[in-house]
Amino acid sequence: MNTGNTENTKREAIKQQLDEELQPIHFEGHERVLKMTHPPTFGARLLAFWNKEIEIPVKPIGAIGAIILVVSLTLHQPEVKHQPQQNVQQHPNRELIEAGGNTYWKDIYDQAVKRHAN
Amino acid sequence: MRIKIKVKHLVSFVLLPASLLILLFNFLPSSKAQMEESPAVQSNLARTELLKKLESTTGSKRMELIQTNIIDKEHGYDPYRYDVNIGPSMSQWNHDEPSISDLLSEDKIALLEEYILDGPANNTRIFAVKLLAYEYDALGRRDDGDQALNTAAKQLDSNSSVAKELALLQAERALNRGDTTAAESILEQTTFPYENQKDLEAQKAWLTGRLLFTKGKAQEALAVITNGLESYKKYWQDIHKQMSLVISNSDKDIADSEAAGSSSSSAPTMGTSEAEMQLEALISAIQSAVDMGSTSTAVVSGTLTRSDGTPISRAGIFLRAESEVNHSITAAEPYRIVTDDEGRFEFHGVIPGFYQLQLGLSYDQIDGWTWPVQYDDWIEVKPDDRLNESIVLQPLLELQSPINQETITGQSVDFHWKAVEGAAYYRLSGGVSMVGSSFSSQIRDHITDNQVSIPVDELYYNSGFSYGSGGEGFESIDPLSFLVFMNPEARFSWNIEAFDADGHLLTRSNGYRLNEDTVGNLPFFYLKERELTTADRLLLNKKPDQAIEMYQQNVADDPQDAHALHMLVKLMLAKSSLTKDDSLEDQAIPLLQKLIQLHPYSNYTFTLTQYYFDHKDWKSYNEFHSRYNELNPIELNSYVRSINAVALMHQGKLTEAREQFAIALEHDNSHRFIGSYLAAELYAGESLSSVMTLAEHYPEHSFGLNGYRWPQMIKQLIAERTKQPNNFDQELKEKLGWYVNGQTDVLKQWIEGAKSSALKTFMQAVEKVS
Repeated sequence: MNTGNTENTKREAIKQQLDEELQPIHFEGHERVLKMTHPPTFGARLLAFWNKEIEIPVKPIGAIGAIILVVSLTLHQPEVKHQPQQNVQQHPNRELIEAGGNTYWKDIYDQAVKRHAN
Repeated sequence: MRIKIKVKHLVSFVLLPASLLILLFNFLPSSKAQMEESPAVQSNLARTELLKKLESTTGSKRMELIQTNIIDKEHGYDPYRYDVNIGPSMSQWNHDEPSISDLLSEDKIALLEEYILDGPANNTRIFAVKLLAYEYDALGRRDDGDQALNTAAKQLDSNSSVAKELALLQAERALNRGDTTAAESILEQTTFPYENQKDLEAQKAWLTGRLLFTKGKAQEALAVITNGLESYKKYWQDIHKQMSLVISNSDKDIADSEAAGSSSSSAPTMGTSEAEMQLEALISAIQSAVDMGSTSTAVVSGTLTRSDGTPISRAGIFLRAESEVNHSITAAEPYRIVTDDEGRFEFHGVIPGFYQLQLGLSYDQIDGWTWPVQYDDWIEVKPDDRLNESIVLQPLLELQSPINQETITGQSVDFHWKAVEGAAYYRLSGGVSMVGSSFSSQIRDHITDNQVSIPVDELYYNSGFSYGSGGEGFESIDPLSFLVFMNPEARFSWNIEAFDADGHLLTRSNGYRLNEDTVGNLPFFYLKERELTTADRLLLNKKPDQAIEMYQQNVADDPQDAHALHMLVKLMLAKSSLTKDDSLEDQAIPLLQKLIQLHPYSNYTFTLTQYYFDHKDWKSYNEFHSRYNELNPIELNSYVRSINAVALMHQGKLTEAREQFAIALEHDNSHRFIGSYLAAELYAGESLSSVMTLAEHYPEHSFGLNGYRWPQMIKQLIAERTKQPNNFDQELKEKLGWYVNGQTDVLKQWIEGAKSSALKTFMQAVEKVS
């Protein structure tokens, strides 16, 4: 019993001492903290998001990036092929031919026929 | 592994740059557009380079540069030469390299202006000034073009050939814009004291002739041109004689020295020069106008636009007389013009007569477009006319199926094409289109919908018996043209023409398709419904006689074998006509009658009517003509109707014949049966003057013949009649009777023996109508 009383008295003494020492210090940041944890305006919320730190897993993101790169490259392929074709059209010594009653440049005709070859 | 990153850093360093890149590649006028522009950019670069080069040179070097880069680049030094020439009965492209100039029109004008002032005073100056005037005309600044000629003529010795040629050019331009006063004063001042300017003298005679006719002095015009032509011809004949003398003398020398003359050279043969052709064409044009009593000129003008109203500038317009349309455009065309920036053209001083317009276009201008004009579209220019003949190009019609070499195996072919606004009906044609060989014929006409399903049997058998051959003799036949759609190995093509309710062509699917956007669907398909027989293979291997035997065998084995029967008849008829062996035709006729029972097609009956017509077997003719009428779903075409009218006439059914002629001529712009109609009318008792009206109303347009031929003949008949009307009427009736009743031999005999008269000329022409 006595032991318990002594401990309690000790605690109280420390607390008293602490209170006395902390008496000149006052916490005045309630409002600021509340604003940060529960932002009241949209702008403030956006700012919070803007500065938010996120973690990104490297592997899945890398994989998605690679797929996008491949797809976009294949989509651009025909345009790359386009160039020589255009140059052919400007070739001065092209031959005109008549086929099925139409008049074609031979190179364009050959390409079209090839495209639809059985 | 995970990366820690703030949102703001992720956005500004990763997402933003990535999306910018995507935008650049896909949505902005990207690399593709840049590539399409590249020729323009290239040509712009070439232009800047050339201009820079010119800037750095002076004096004669600079003139040389201008000559090589502008004047020499023009094909044949003729500015009126175009990539493509299109007319009602022709379409051809020049085999020159496409003329792509790096310079802009204003560059050329500035440089040419400089050249005609500072360049050498020789023929190149003339080319330069022609080019310059052309550039100004194309911009609608004709006065500046005239001024350029004035400038070029300055500082020149007025007796020099260059000065004279420039003067004649000025006179021609004055005539072309209808300024006869200016033309007259220039021509008066231009004289030729020296002998060696015969070409220019001929040119002056030509211009003076045109001027005099425009002023209403037709006879004087004819005299001037005829004189000019004669003196020109004489001059060159003399030169030619001298040359042959020189050459034969030198030949002798060679022969003497070489002992044995191995090679013999002869004097160059005389061709017809452009100057001669020009004068001769003018004489025939004026003579024909004079004969018709037309002695004043007309104006023909119009615009050249696309169907959306866009004007086509810098295109050549050629107004060509009936006697000239059959040869290609020369550098000596009397009526040619370049359209201005609003697509306008205007011809002054046009001599009355029949004309057709022809166009000169660049590949870019015609690509994907067509001029819907037909071979028998004629313009009749009458004295003092002011005609508006505007030309509108239409987009090519698009085919939808069967296309792009697809294979069809079913019992019918479903043709489908894009509907044309305002079209009342369509005409479907098609045939074989192999490399190096093609053969096409009409499949069906008057299709009112923009689609039609044609049973394969109709494709196989209703195309008639026409065929292609590569020369004389039966071996020269083109096997593909015999099998056509029946050949599962051949590639076929088809095309559509669209017409309005009055039968005017609106547009067509065939034309110039020169880039990837205008190539459209390829009009090709394969038809693999049947298999080749052994006989077919023999034919394809160019063994037609063996094929005939095999087909005969097939028919003997199976009298119901319609394919073998069809091929047999077709081959026999072809052989008969190619070898002139009528007995083969006689043998084919019973087979053809059998064939009609198996396949009742109108084309078979038409061949039979022709046969019986030629053999004057009117009973059979009438039988198969009415059969033809039953089988032919559409109205009789004017040719069949005309033939029937002649048949009726020969059978003594004059009233019916005249009715049929009247309908047929109304629908046939070539009016090829007008002679027979006139004969029938005259024989029925119509007067020469009433027949004259018909002759004028239905001018005949046949290859090389004058549209005023029949009116002129009737005119001569009227003149001849005045001497002894009763005698004349009697004689006319007798000769007409021979023709109308089909006594051709009697008529021919009389023509041979008769001395020349208006009646003989007329009957000769009537007898030749076919």
